[in-house]
Amino acid sequence: MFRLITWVLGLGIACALFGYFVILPQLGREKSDIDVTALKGDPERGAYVLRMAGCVTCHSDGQGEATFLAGGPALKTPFGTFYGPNITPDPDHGIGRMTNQEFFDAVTAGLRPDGTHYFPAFPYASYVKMDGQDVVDLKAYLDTVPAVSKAARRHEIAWPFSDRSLVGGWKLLAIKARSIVPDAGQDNAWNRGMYLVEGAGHCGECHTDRNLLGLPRGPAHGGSPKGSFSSGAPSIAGAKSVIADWTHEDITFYLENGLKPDGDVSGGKMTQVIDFATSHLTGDDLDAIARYLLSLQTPATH
Amino acid sequence: MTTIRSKFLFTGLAAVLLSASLPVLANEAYVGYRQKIMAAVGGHAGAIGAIVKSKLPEQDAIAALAEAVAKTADTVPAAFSHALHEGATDAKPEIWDNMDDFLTLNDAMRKASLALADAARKGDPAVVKKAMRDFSKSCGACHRSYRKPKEESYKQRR
Ligand code: HEC
Ligand code: HEC
Ligand code: HEC
Repeated sequence: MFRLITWVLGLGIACALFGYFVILPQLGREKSDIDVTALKGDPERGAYVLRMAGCVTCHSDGQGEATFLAGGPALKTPFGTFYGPNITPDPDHGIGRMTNQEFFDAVTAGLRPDGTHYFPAFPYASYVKMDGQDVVDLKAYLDTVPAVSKAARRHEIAWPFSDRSLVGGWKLLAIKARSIVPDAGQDNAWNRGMYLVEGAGHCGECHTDRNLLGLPRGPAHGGSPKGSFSSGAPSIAGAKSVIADWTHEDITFYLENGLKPDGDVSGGKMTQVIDFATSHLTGDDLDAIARYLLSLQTPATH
Repeated sequence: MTTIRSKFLFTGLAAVLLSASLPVLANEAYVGYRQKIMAAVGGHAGAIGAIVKSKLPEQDAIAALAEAVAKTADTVPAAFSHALHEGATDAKPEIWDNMDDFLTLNDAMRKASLALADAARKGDPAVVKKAMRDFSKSCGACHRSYRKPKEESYKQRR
């Protein structure tokens, strides 16, 4: 009897070890098969992509050259506190040594140059849908910002969430679609809006609810309660949407200025999204986002 | 004699009681008062927004409305001079630890609204756009530190 228990236990441990060391490292390694090495980056477009994708919020702490993209403020999540690292071209503390392909895999697949995983606090689960040219342009721009020699702060996360190899399993469950499939039945503005909202703009990272494992739960952009990653973002789509009666101009004006139709102003993390990202967008892109968001206001017609 | 004395006593007591309770009542009322001031600021901002976003032919009104916000800012220091941060209010207690900063931010809103009024009079759309941005940013700058976020608001019944 005792021998049997030892055997079963031993087998269990062996399976767990095999799973952890052999199977787990293989999970979530999937990346786009786009070869970006042939693409040439345009830094001017890249400066705009930086705003579209809201990278500044998490990678800059304070204003001015000395802090621009040199590391972000504390990002508190239910899994611990993360710090967006230095992404200036500094070779030691920044991303100066990253090639275009490595950068592309980091942003769109959450893979580090050594093949291990980035934590999903870096919202690659949305950026997975970003266009290859956009990402290469972004890198070309990042190469031009002043390098800041400042070490990244260490994340404050507890085991097991601190284990990067577990992220592979998470990716497998969380990342369903790897690109945006344009809807031929909609016009260009709508499709552009979908790209900006679902991809680069990563609006769902806050506006979609998440379960205990950080996996999207409930309707897309259906709102998330206090205590979630976003510290609570209202529903902006479907049945419970708080913007159901907003006009097209109400949406564009809000994303540009932070003023709501009722005269109140945006609060919480949305203020940073507006300050660092959406207020820098062109009128056409704001129109595109409004077009797309408005189409999400009538449930069950889509 | 005794009746006079007890009358004195009574009025004295009443006066003491009144003077103790009156300021309390007045204080509480300051919460509603300052919220109405903010609602007024919001009302003017909303009207400006309505003109700008829908391109209403009311450009002259922008300056008047923005100046009204500047005037309203003058009432903020007194309205927030009572340290009331419990109950039906979204004012954070930090206001009364950092009153100088709070008042500086209020003054920044006042200046931003005057700049918007000025820009609107001159009529250069690019300048108006920028002034509009700075104006709405001045609200967020104060709210970020001194107003409870929506999910903690007393108005929230989620
Ligand atoms: C919501 C916050 C957030 C946003 C938005 C964000 N990042 Fe990050 N980023 C992070 C965090 C946190 C990490 C660290 C992840 C880790 O340590 O596993 C990170 C890591 C990175 C890295 C790896 C750096 C290194 O030293 O290995 C790069 C490159 C990067 N981000 C670029 C970007 C770009 C480009 C954008 C915009 C397209 C962006 N990030 C948007 C939070 C964010
Ligand atoms: C970092 C988290 C975060 C991200 C990313 C984010 N939002 Fe928000 N959003 C919020 C929060 C929090 C609020 C509530 C703001 C408040 O309390 O006033 C909000 C509010 C809004 C509102 C107004 C609803 C209302 O009445 O309060 C709209 C519209 C909106 N977001 C659209 C977007 C769009 C479009 C995107 C993507 C481009 C986006 N958000 C990305 C957190 C986020
Ligand atoms: C100097 C600080 C400060 C500035 C500047 C400021 N606010 Fe406020 N605001 C507050 C505080 C504090 C509250 C919460 C008051 C309370 O609940 O007691 C508030 C509340 C509000 C409310 C809710 C009022 C209610 O009905 O309860 C609105 C609307 C508002 N502000 C709009 C604005 C707008 C629009 C601007 C810019 C034009 C602005 N505020 C600028 C401090 C400020």
